[in-house]
Amino acid sequence: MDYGALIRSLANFSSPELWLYIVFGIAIGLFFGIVPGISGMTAITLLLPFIFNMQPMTALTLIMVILATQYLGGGITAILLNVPGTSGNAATLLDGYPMSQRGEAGRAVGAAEAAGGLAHIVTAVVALLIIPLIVPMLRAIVSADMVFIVLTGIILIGSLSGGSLIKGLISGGLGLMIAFIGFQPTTGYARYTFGSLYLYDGLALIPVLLGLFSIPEMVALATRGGTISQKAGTIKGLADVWRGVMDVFRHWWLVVRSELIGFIVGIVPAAGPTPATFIAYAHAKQTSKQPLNFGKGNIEGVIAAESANNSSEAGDLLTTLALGIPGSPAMALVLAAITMLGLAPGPEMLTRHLDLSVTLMWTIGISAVIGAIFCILMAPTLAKVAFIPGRILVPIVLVLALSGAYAYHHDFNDTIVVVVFGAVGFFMRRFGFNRPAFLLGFVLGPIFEKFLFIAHKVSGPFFFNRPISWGLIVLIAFTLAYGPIKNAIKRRRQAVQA
Amino acid sequence: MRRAGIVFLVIALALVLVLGACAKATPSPTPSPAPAPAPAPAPAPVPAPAPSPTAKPTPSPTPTAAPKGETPADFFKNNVVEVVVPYTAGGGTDQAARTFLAAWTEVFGGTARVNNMPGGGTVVGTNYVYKAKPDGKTLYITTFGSALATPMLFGAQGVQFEVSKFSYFGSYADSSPVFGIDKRLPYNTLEELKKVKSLKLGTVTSVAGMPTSGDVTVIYILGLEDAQVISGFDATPEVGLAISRGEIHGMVFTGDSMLKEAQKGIVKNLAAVATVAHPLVPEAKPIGQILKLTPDQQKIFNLYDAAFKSARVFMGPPGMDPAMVDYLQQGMKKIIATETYKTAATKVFGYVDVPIIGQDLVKLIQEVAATPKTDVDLMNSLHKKWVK
Repeated sequence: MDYGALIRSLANFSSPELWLYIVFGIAIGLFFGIVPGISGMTAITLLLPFIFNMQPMTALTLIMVILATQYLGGGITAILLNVPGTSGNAATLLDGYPMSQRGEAGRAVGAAEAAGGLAHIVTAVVALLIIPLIVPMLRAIVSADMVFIVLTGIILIGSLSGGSLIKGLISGGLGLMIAFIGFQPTTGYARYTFGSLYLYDGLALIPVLLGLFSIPEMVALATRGGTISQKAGTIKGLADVWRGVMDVFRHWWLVVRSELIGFIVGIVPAAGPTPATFIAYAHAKQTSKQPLNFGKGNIEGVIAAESANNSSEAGDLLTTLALGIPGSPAMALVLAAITMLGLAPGPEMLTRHLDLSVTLMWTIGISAVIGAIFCILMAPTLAKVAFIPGRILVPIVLVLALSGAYAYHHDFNDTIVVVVFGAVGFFMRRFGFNRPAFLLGFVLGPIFEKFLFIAHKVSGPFFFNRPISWGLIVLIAFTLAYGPIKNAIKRRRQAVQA
Repeated sequence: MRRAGIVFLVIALALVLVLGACAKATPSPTPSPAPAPAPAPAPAPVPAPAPSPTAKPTPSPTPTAAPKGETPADFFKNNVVEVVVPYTAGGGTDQAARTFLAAWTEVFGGTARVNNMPGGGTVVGTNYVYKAKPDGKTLYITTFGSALATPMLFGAQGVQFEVSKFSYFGSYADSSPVFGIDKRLPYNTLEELKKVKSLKLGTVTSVAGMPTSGDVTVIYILGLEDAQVISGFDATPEVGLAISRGEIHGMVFTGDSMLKEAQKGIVKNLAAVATVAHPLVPEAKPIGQILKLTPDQQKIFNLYDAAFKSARVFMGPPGMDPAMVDYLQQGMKKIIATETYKTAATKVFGYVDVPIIGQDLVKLIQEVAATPKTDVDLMNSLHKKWVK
């Protein structure tokens, strides 16, 4: 590989026109990320008609900036309103919103933005360095190995279970069951559609997400009264935000692990940012010294989730450029833009057009840092949302959730899904069932099923009999055993001390 | 708890009612036009095929005459046209539609905007257009094979349209399918492949539960009883990746896609599963020129060639004014001839194709509609046999 391209491509940033597109893209990305239901994908879809007439460098720069900054904006909504701005921010609200309720919204936003900005910079550099390895890496991992990679994510449902393992597993199982509604991707047969065209494609993630998390919290706020922040007090301003930024550096080892998880999941074709953020969150909980605080406002939860979802972008882009396989719907749009500009995704993007690809990676990092700094400076103002009376905030959030679901596909059925899953989420919250576990099952189930079917058809029932698969099986066994072993060691130490 | 439940129900009900009222409504009827002269004779109607098993078609409206004084040229110059595409933004057909519409303003003067309407494997979009007012404001660009021919011949869930009743303007961007195998395999001709055991081909799964049938057609022509078609992949590059990993041995996809996989060094293209070679893959000759087909193999090949085209069809709801239909047919020819379209098509497809306009397209649909049921049943049985 021509490593000189890493330096040469920086010369592209001397163009004022490129900076104009970067600033414009940051504004669009943050806005579309903050508003629930309409992510950066919507923005890019609106830009597609103009792509034909743009230069590849400026067009792709604009698109990548929007995609990179949408999660920074989405994290703000997740923390302040318990409504994820994008699906990649779904895990952020699990601890971000409880922090807002505790009057620590500024700290949570500071941590989220710093983690996100740092994740983009680090993974952009890592992606650039491993360009020569990416194609051999992806070709070495077959469908059988993918089964166990996804299974690793699914068993983390147990880690998310919190107080009751049984309820956690029931929640995850319910998520898996709901995920199987629709046509089966390998046989094409319709399951549980009841003759409905809407259900033929299965339930979409965004409406389920919005219903499951935003409505129960808003109902709780409406009945409790008062504000989101249940702790009266002055807003601490930038000092509180800065404390959150410092938390990211204090938990640097968690940041590294979460970025690694996000990057690897992002590389995996068809995975996307949502599994990355939940897997990193579950891993953080499993390895934390205070696992019982997760879900109650533990800053580690926010850091892990935002590090992972922002890291997945660079990995996703790498796979998209190198192989032409998008890891998420957003990257499918990037692929379309690449084609419409007359370029061909594949080895050429990493050889003949290497300068362009490298520039895109740098763009992700630079735009994320600028976007994160902007959000950190705005955080003290944004944190005041936690002190707005519920009687004003609840209708606004509910309308945002329902209109966000409608904006997703312009299908009224999506709003019905929000209401139905709002009811499901309400009762899950009331009776102590785990909503993150449900979502993890919902997101990973179809991916697991697809690779299991293909692996079985390709290699028969002993598809796992290969080195990488065995290595992953050992990793899974270790992950399952880690918690009980850790607890056993802890009990023995306590007994010895006693 | 009770109070919480009541609050929840009240809020939810109120919001659902408000949003339901704001949800997209069907267009309100336009005032009845003043009596117009008798319209020109409609194009020759396509004979109605046997209805698909799940079809519940609505009756087609009587042709709508253009408002008095406004010619089709004025109408398209002064109005924004919605062009429905039944796929998500960024997909192949969406790109093809945007490529076509890049020259819309240049030819018609007005504006056309794409409305992506995925769902039900194209059925949602097709139903929507079938029921739309035939006033020229709602048009459709979709894929011939998966959106029209497949539901017509094999049925699909929730179909509320009859393929024969739409107003057709033309088709473009057809891409002959090409069969390619792993470049590392020691076989270079179809004759050599006939002796291969346990050949595995990969494909995506399409609407009606049927994988794209090119693989089945090739296996049937090669006579490989123990072959297997593995479906479930999301797109061509993923199948290509599976080939490079050694999981499968080959695939059948559009010529431009197979060319990209060949350029990546993954496949070698052996034959076009069509009557003509793809312009970008001329070395892959039509399969009928390479092998002698038995009568049954010829039937399956003909069915695949006619019904599973990747061509994009530009069409409108049933009952459109014949003058408007004719204007759009001529307009389509002009669009394809513009430099704007040619430049965009070269970027996206790699070449500029020859469209099929008007009556030629209607005739093609008639041919597909006339496919004997025995041939369709044979294709179904082959799918069940090889797609495990």
